[in-house]
This record gives sequence, structure tokens and C-alpha cells, in this order.
Amino acid sequence: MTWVALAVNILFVLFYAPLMDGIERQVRARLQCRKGPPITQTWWDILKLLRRPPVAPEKAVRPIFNLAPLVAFAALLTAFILVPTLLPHSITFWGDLILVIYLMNSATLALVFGGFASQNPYAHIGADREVNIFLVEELALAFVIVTLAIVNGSLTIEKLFPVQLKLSVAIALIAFVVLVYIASARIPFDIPEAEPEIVEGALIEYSGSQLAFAKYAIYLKRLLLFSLLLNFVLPRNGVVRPLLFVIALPILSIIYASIEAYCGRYRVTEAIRLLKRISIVTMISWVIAIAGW
Amino acid sequence: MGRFGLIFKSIAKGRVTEKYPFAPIELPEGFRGKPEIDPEKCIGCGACATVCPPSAIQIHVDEEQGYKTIDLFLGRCIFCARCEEVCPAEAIRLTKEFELAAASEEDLHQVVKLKMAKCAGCGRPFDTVRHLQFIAEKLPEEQKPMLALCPDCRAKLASKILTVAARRHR
Amino acid sequence: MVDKILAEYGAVVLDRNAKRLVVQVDDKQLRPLAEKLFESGFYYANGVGVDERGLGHDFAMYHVFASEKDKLYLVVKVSTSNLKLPSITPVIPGSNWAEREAMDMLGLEFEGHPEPERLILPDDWPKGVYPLRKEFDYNERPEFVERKPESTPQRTDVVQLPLGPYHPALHEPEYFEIHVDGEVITDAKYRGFHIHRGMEKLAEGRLTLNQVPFLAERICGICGFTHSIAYCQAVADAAGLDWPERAKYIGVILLEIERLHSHLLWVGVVFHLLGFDSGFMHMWRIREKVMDIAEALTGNRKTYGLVLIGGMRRDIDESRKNWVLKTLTELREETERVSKDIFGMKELINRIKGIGVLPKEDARALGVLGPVARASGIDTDVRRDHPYLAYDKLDFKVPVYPEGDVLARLLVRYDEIIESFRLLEQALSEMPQGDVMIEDYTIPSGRVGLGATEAPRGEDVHFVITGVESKVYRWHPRAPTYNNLPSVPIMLRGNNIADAPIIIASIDPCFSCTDHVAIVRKGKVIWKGPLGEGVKQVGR
Repeated sequence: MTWVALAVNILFVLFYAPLMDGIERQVRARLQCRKGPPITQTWWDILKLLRRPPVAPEKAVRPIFNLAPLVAFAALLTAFILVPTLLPHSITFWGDLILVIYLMNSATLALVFGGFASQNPYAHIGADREVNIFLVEELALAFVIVTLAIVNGSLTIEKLFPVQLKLSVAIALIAFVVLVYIASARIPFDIPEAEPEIVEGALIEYSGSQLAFAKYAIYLKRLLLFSLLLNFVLPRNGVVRPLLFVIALPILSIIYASIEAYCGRYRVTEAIRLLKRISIVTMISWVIAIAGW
Repeated sequence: MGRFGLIFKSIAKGRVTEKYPFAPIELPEGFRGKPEIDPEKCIGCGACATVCPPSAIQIHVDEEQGYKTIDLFLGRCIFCARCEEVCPAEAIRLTKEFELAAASEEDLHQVVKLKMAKCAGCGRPFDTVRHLQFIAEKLPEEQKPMLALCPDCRAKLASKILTVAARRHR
Repeated sequence: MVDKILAEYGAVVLDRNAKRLVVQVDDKQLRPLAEKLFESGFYYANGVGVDERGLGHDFAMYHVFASEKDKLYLVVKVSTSNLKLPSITPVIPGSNWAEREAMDMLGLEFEGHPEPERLILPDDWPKGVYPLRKEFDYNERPEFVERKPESTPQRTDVVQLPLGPYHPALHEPEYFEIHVDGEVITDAKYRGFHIHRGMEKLAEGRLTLNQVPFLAERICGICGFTHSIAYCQAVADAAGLDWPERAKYIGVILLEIERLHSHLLWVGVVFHLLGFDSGFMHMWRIREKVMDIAEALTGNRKTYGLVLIGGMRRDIDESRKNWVLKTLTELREETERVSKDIFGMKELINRIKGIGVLPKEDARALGVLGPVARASGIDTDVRRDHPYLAYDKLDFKVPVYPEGDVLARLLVRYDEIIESFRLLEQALSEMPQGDVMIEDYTIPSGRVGLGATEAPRGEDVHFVITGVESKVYRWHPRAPTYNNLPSVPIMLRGNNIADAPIIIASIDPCFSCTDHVAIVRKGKVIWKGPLGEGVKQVGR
């Protein structure tokens, strides 16, 4: 039964991740007085890219360059086995939360390595920025998780949810909402991909099916972050869960995309400054958690 | 208000982009689109070819067959409407059409083929029949016979007449 | 005062009217005269080499100087029979490119030029073939020689980041090589002149006087109409024509519509470069209505194609006037509302505050024009200083900001948008009745004419010598980016790489306009060595 549920979950995220991007594009279009593309557009884009052969630059370090998008994609898909999405089923074991974070980060790092392997100067700068942000973001995320672990006395996702409402958890949760926004590389934090400056950054040399997988990985990462967030608040079991889950995802999309539509891009230093502040907030939540509130 | 003001304004404004190309768009009167030559009206005077800045309209004369062709090539046209302005016969007009993609270059050519009149003197084709008719309407009766001659023969005839007149005068 | 200076250096007045003065000087007097003119407030506006053998003279170089103070364009002609002329670049740096252009295109030699190298002809162009000489046919194709690409040394201490020739932030092929240390720009090099279209030769060789305006309009993809106006003003100046009043007002209306759509476009692009696409969409939403007005008035969104030497080809329909006025009022309110909200977004404005600073002294030395100059505290505007069309009868303000950063450039252009709305409302309501075109005129041959307009990006200067059989003997347009581009490396230095696109875009560069007379010299670095020296060479 678990396996069937897991399959349903995986199929759902595979189907929904590009659709979610389509929804966000439509939201942004509405906010910019545009008709915008249909919500299926991202799907069509990916299907089109999958049919095209990839082209690698001459100087690229081929094995890393070619594998990176697939590694990122596979890592994120694996993470969805551990995180309950539509159905509350998942494989659980002690410390699976750490594995989820690890998988998510390895996806990011895979794309960073792919960028470095392409030997393109823009990709270098993009990857460089990605690493910069990633390191600070990581710190904040670590404090959020540790806070939750202390309060619940566990690092297993199943035991974590639903969270007990305490002061420390509330602060950590708010920080997590912001971190989800930042980690999904939305404006003003899309600095590693800044199109007018460094032309998609680490992804610049990718094309065809490789680009499709890299993009798919990015959409999956956004969905994974949303799923983690929703697990905090949605009921663990019951028939309402899938329903609430399906309703809550577009609502999150609308909120996040609206913010994204009305922001300008930060410089990397500004972003890091902000992230450091968030880290301090999460650190405080951790201290509070230790104090037992 | 900052960004929230903008968000509200955008929602209030609604969608402003058009559904084009899936729905047609409105064009104002006097829009300068694809030029079209009415082959019925064209007299082949060549005024359009003379003013055309990018030489999109070119005139070719086939003396053997006795035809003059006016070749409008849309690939060069800049839609300035100078041809429309100078055409004495109002044969060339700019339409509202602007979607000019074509599968082959030939589709972008519009050719008008006009029969040429042969000179009554030397037999060389020299001008289109329609242009001569167009001029004939405006000429006084006594000068009309001159139209049957090509410019060279006309010059010869004129000098002959003048010499005869001069002799008589003497 | 000018007359006194000219008399001092033995200049012979060839032709004069209220707005411009043509003089000839002996080549020995040229450099001291140029130095004196520069000191007394003139800047270098245009430089034209002319093969005057067809007019019964020798080769000549026409240096055009302009002064806001004297409200005068001064054309200084020097002739040469042996192709040798003194260079004035050591005393007026702005003439650097103009003299090198004449070297490439006509084979003139400028003695004492600090950098006598090819600027615009490519490496594979054969030596001794000069395209703008009269014996060279407009459709001639010379045998190209083998090209030896110059290899630029790879530096290991910094990352060399190519910005261009194809880059989404540059909408035209142009190349900036930016050296970055981490995220900070330490050095910038510019290689230009990739887009040669041979327009001058085409105009001289194949087109008639009334066909050139349509070519001139295609110099620029955004502000082309101002070029066709400048050309027609130049010919009208040479022939002493005066347009009917109504034509002048229509000219003002169309030029201001063009400025509106150009500035709105630019403001939108700035927001896009800042990652704020919604701002871009709002600006372009407003701009689209401006395009609709242009389309309704002229029959085309962008290439109005309305101007001939004698005036305007189409009159403005009185029945449309009210609709235009109503739409303009709405648009002005909309622009003000949207801009107020956008300027209220603090972090967005902070992003462009204090970056890409161009000090006033550098701006003046490089002869920077238009909004870029006005954002660096230089009070200059052709519309006010050298009035053309009906601008002397209309009331408008010239915004000047002293800060010299990207924000100042944004504010200057925003103020100009509002001023353009005001100008349009005035011109439309005050427009007199009457003809819009003079039909019977003759153009004397061998006359020098000068036309200058304030394009959205700065001053356009068109130089014309009339020819026989209703042709131009020589036509040389100079677009504002030609003068503004050398200031970009100064702006870039010390800034963050994330800000490079916005800084480059802040001069509203129009590379095709600059390059209309240019052919790329592939592999050629225009400024060799570190940036400081490059600026010294070009700027001092």
C-alpha cells in the first residue's frame, strides 16, 4: 500500500511541478496587465526541450557537465520519497529530515558543478553567486531544523508534524517561510540566474534535454520547499489532506509569485546581508528552543 | 504606496495585451501597409520607380517581345507611400495588410506586364500603349500624331518640320 | 566674440546665417584656433572629411564646433592638396574618432594624431582603397586581403568577462570586455563599430535628395525620425528654405512623440535590467498608446516617413487632434501615477543610486551629450540653445541634475517625459493653419548645410554639401552615442558586475547609430592598456 501511495506521490509531483510554474507565470502575467501564456506552457516547453539534442561547449568537462542536470533531478525526486506530499505516506527512518535537506542541497550543488564544468565565464559567476548565497542560506536552514528537532525531540519527519506551537517554533516557521522564498531563487533572490546580467548563470550552456532536466529540477525544488512548508500546517492524516494540499499549493504559488512580480533584483551582497539577518533570527529561535519555550 | 499601489492598479487595469495573432488587431485609417498595384489602372509611366527610395519598384523593358514590366518587390519595400503619392493614375495604393511572410521570394514580387506600342517610324517598341493613351487625353488634337513616334523619331521629325518651315520662311 | 577670435586667426567667412557660420582657415592656423575655441566654451560636434575634387577643389576637412553660450554652430574648413592636415585631437579630444574616420574613409593624414590607427575599416580591407573617395563606386567590392587576427593576451589575475558582441543586455552587437575581480569591475574595454551599413556612400552614390530622408530615418531603430528631420534641416539650411509654420509644428509634435516613446522604452528597459519586470510592463503599456498615436498620425508605429526637404508629407487631421490631446492627458496622468509608485520602491531606487558616476569634468572633456550630460550637471539642450522647427515658440524646461549617477539619468529622462507631454499639448493646441509643404524650390549645388536636432539620446548633427542633379555631394550624420560611448568605461570602473548592464544601458546607447559609418576592425582593441590610459588618450 505504501508503495502505491509513494508512486501516486511521485507521479503527482512530476506532473504538478511544471504546472506550478505555469500557474505562477499566469499570476505574474495578470499582475503585469498581460494575457500571459496558458498554465500548461511550462509543460510544453519541457516536452519540446526533451526532444532536442543537447549541445555541450568544447572546453566543458563533459562527464560533470552532462551528469549534473540528471543528478539534480534524481536527487530531488528521491527527496519526494521521504517527504509526504499529496498522500501522507513516505519512507521514514531516524534523521530522514537531514537526508531531505542533503538531497536538496546536492541538487543545487550539482547544478553549480555543472556550471563550473561548462567553463563559461557567466556560468562561473552564476555558480559563484549560487555558492555564496547557498552557504548563508544553509546556516539559517540548519538553525530552523535544529529548533524543530529540539522542540519535538526528533529528526524524523513523521514525528515532527504537526509541530507543537511554541514561541521558538513560530519564529522558526516565519523564518522558514522566508527561506522557502529565497531558496526557490525568486526575484529579488534569483541573483545566480540574473538574466540581464549573467544570462541564466550556471545554466547558460545547457540546452535540449539537459536544460529540460535542469529546469525540471528547479521546479521540483520549489515544489519540495512548498511541500515541506505545508507539512507543518496541514493535518497529517485523513481524507481532507489531499484536498487541502491541492488547494493550498496554488494559494502559495499566488502569494509567492505576487511578491516576485513586484520586486527588483538584489545585488549578491545585499542578499547575503539579508540572509545573515535571517540567520540571526533563526539562531535566536534556537536559543529560545533550548530554553524550553 | 509603492508596490502595493502598483499591484492594485494592475488588477484594476485588467489585461491590455492583445490576442494577436490569434485575433486580428485594429489598424487606423491611413496605415501604410503592403502596396498593391492595380494592373487595370497602371499605365507604366515609371514615376513610382523613380521616387522609390529603396528601388523596390523596378522597370524592365523587353524590346523583343514588346512588353514593359513593373516589378514591385516587397522584400525591399519600406512602406513610405511615395509611390502612392506620385502615381498619376492612382493605380498603386498602400493597403492595411502587413503580414508579409512568404514561403518563397517569388511570392513577394508583384509584376505588372504592359504591352508597348511600336514606333510608327522605326518600329522599335518605346512606351506602353496605356501611357500613350493617358497622355493623348491631355494633348491638343494637332500634337497627337507625334505620340506614335519614339522620342528619337520625334526629334528627327521635329527638326525636319523646323527645317522645312525655316526654308519656307526664307 | 567669435568674430574676434576668427579674425585673430585669419579665418575667411564663407557663409553665415543666424545659427551657423562657415569659415575657412589656413591649415597652420587650425590647431591654435581649435584650442582657442575649446577654451572659450565650444565643444566638438562633428568632423567631416570631404573629397571636393568633384567641386573643383581639393580634399577638405570640415570641423564643426558648437557652443551653447554663443548659440552658434561654427564650421571650420581646412583644405589640403597633399592629403596632409594638422590633427586637432591633442587640443580637442572629441575629434579623435572623426579624424580617424577621415583617415580610413578618405585617406587623409592627420599630423600629430596620438593614435593614427584604423578605427572603422576592417583588417581585411586592402590598403590604399578609400571608400568615400568619389572614384570608388557605391557598389564596388574590393579584393579583401588576408586577415591576421590580433590575439589579446589572456590575463590570469582577473576574470575577463565578455559582455557582447551578443548579450541580452545589449540589444545590438557591441563588445565590452570587462575585467572583474570577484564582483568588482577593475577595468573595461570597448570594441565597437560592428555594424557598417555604408549609408553615406549609398546616399551620395544612388539616392536623390528627397530619398535620403527615408534612409536617414533608418539610422536608428528608435529615434530615426529626428535624423530625417536633421537631414532635411541641413538641406533646407544649405538652400535657404524656410518651412511653412504648420509643418514646423507637426515636426515638433512627431519629434516629441518619438522622444516620449524612446524615453518610456528606456525607463522600461532599466526596470527590466533591475529584475523588476512589472515596471517594464507598465512603462511599455503606456508606451504602446504613444505608438498608437504615432500610428494614427503618420500611418506607421515607428518609421513615420513623413518628412521631405520641403516639409511634411501629411497634415495632421484636425478631427484626430482632440482624440490625441485626450489620450495624451490620460497618458500623462497614468505615467505620473505609475512612476510615483515605482519611485516609492526604495530598494529599487537605492540599487541605481550612486552607481556609474560620471563627473562633470570628464563629461565635458569627452563632449558627452543629451540626458547623460544633463545628469552630470551640464546644462545643454539643442532645442533651447540652437532652436529649430517651432521650439523657440514653445515653453519647456531643461532638467539638469548634478549627481551624475544612474538615478540622475533616470530622473532627467523622467522629467523630459513630463516636459514632452507639455510640449505636445502646447504644439497641438497652438498649431497654426496653412500649408505643410513647399513645392517650388531649387537646391543650389556645392552649398554647405548643417542640421542639428535634440534626439532622445542627445544632439544629432547632420552635415550636408549639396550636389548637382538633386543629389547630395556629401552627407555626414553624427549620432549622440558616438560622443556618449567613450564615457562608459569611466562609469563602469569600481562598480559591481551586477550593475554593469544597467550602467551601460544608462547612456541609452544606440550602437547602430554610432556605427552607421563604421566597419569593425576585428580583433582590434580601441583602447590598449589599462583603462586609465585609455581614458587619457580619449579624454584628455
